Amino acid sequence: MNRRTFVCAATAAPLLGRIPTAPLPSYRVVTPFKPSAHRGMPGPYSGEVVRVHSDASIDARSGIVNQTVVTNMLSRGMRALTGDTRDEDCWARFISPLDIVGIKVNCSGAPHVMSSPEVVAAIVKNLTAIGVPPERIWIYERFESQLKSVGYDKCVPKGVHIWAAEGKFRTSVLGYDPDIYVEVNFFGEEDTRSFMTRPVADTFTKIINVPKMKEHQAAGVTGCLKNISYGDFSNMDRSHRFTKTNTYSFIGTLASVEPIPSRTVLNIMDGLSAVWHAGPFSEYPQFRFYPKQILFGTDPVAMDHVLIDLIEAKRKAEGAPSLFDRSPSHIGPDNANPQFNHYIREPGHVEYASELGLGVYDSSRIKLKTIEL
Amino acid sequence: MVPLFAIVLPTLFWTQGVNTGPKLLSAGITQVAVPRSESGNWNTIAGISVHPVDLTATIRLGNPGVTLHLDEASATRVPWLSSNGWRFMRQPNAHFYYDVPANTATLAAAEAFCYGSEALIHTDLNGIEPLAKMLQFLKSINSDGAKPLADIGFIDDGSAASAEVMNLMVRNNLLFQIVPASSSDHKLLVKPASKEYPLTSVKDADSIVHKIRANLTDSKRTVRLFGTSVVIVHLTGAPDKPRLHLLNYGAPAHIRVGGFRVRVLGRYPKSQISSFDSPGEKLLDYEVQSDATEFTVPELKTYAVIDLAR
Repeated sequence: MNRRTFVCAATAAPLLGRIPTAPLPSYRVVTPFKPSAHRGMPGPYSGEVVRVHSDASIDARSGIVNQTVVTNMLSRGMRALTGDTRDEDCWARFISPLDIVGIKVNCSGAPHVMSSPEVVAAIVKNLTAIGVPPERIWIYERFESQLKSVGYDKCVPKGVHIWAAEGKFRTSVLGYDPDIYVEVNFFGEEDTRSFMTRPVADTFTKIINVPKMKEHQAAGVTGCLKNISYGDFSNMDRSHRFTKTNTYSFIGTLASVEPIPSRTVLNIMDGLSAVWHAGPFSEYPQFRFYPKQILFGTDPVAMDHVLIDLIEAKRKAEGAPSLFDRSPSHIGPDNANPQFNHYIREPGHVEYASELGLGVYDSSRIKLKTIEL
Repeated sequence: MVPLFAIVLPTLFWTQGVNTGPKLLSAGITQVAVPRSESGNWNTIAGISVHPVDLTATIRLGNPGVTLHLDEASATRVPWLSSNGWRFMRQPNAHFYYDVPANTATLAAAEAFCYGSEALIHTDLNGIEPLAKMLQFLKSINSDGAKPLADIGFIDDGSAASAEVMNLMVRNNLLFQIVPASSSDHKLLVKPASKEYPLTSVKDADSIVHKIRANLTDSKRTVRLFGTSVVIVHLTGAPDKPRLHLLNYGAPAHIRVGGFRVRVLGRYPKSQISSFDSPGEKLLDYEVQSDATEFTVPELKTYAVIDLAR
């Protein structure tokens, strides 16, 4: 079978509020996969978000995470999301022992602000508890140097794969599937394709998305959508080469490419620590903060809307401009100053993704359940 | 100056004394060009064919390679490529001269070879062994006459602005050939300083090249590369038997190209890759599609040739 049989063109969605008015780029999506009957995103809990908060989850001074508390947070979050009373039943709703599970972590802020090894360890423990062998579990990220710096291998059972798409030199497409890509010309760049990572295409049967709560200089925030899109494709940084970026539409477009929305069955957003400015990296300690919470859901849009609200509130408390601010007076090279940013942020990418069918953005339709431990 | 060899291979231009002869032989150099004034001294060295040359009859070339813009606040690091391709195309019968450091000698040799140009390469002692290996490699793959295959016919008016347009087309892998005004052999004919391409100065070159690409359209381009920003492709041969020359301009800066995707218009079930510093390399994920052939080059250190056939 010719894997190029299914070629579709993503079309521009209707323009919404809080978004650029310029025409959207023309995307050509090439994938052999069709949506599954029961897509993971937005999944069975569309519009629902569970927030579990614990003051004891992390020590803000040392950054040390309490594994016992985190494990308990996962248990409470999953039970609240599913309504089940046993952890095994919660996880079995999403994963079977026959699945090959990819855990998409976020390490761009490592070694300080990344998907916590303790959160990932608790996820792996729950997977093995329902019968998924370690050999069928993959922890993955795009860049090997970032991934290795975290040391996930030290906190998960032997046999769990730790895999990165690009090695030290970041100049290879070998970790990507040549038959699944999005083709777009943003600004006249010569390399117009972004390929999907290979195991997402040809190995994983389920994906658990584990983003980190962070502001993003170009996208506004980097949460579920950005982690599962830019984290699963090559050559995406071209979307934010200039002050006016294409993150608004590129993130949702990539997140919509099958099999990502079909296989991504669960989002667990690590907000034990977070970044409120100059993200997704964490070069400046003064921009780290500690929400001490974890979000759970299957709807990445609803979860990212909660993230926007959280980062926005923190920025307001710090006297920084809104994520939605587009004033040229706040564009500047010195992002060590929270009044300035390199790019015009595009938090509207979350609302745009809702138009692509990835979830619920409307606040009045989002059910946020908060659990305090 | 007359052609030195039947096959147009670059030649080491050597200014160090005849006492270095054994080192050249040891490195594998068997032919050198030397200043005419010194040629008599070299007659005593057995095993090295010596050709006296006069550099005043040559055109000095810049160092091929890349310039990285690490100071730019951007997540995308697209380096500036320095290629001499347009010079070879503007003056195909000229004699060229490189004076390059050791780490650039192999790229210089490959660059001149793939455009079928005669070039002298001056380098230092550290550069002669890799250069000798490259020359052996170039000899082994044979020249196909280096007849270019191109999508764009370019009417060169000889101006500096046209030179810059050609330079940018080479760097952007827009395959062109210099043609007379009456040519109709290409998908797109570009006449600089015309109504369609109002080229009045070097500053216009970038916008002209964008317009050329837009008018040609990416879907009609014979070759596309994905996953690299430092590789330049040059296409020669015949439509039923094209040869892709792939040059890694990042090689002097030790930029390793660890895998990139190539799309060639046309159906070519047969392929053969010859890679200078990755012997035995095989193309990956080879696909003959309805209108194109795609494959992945797993690694490119300096230079590779891919011969395709129907």
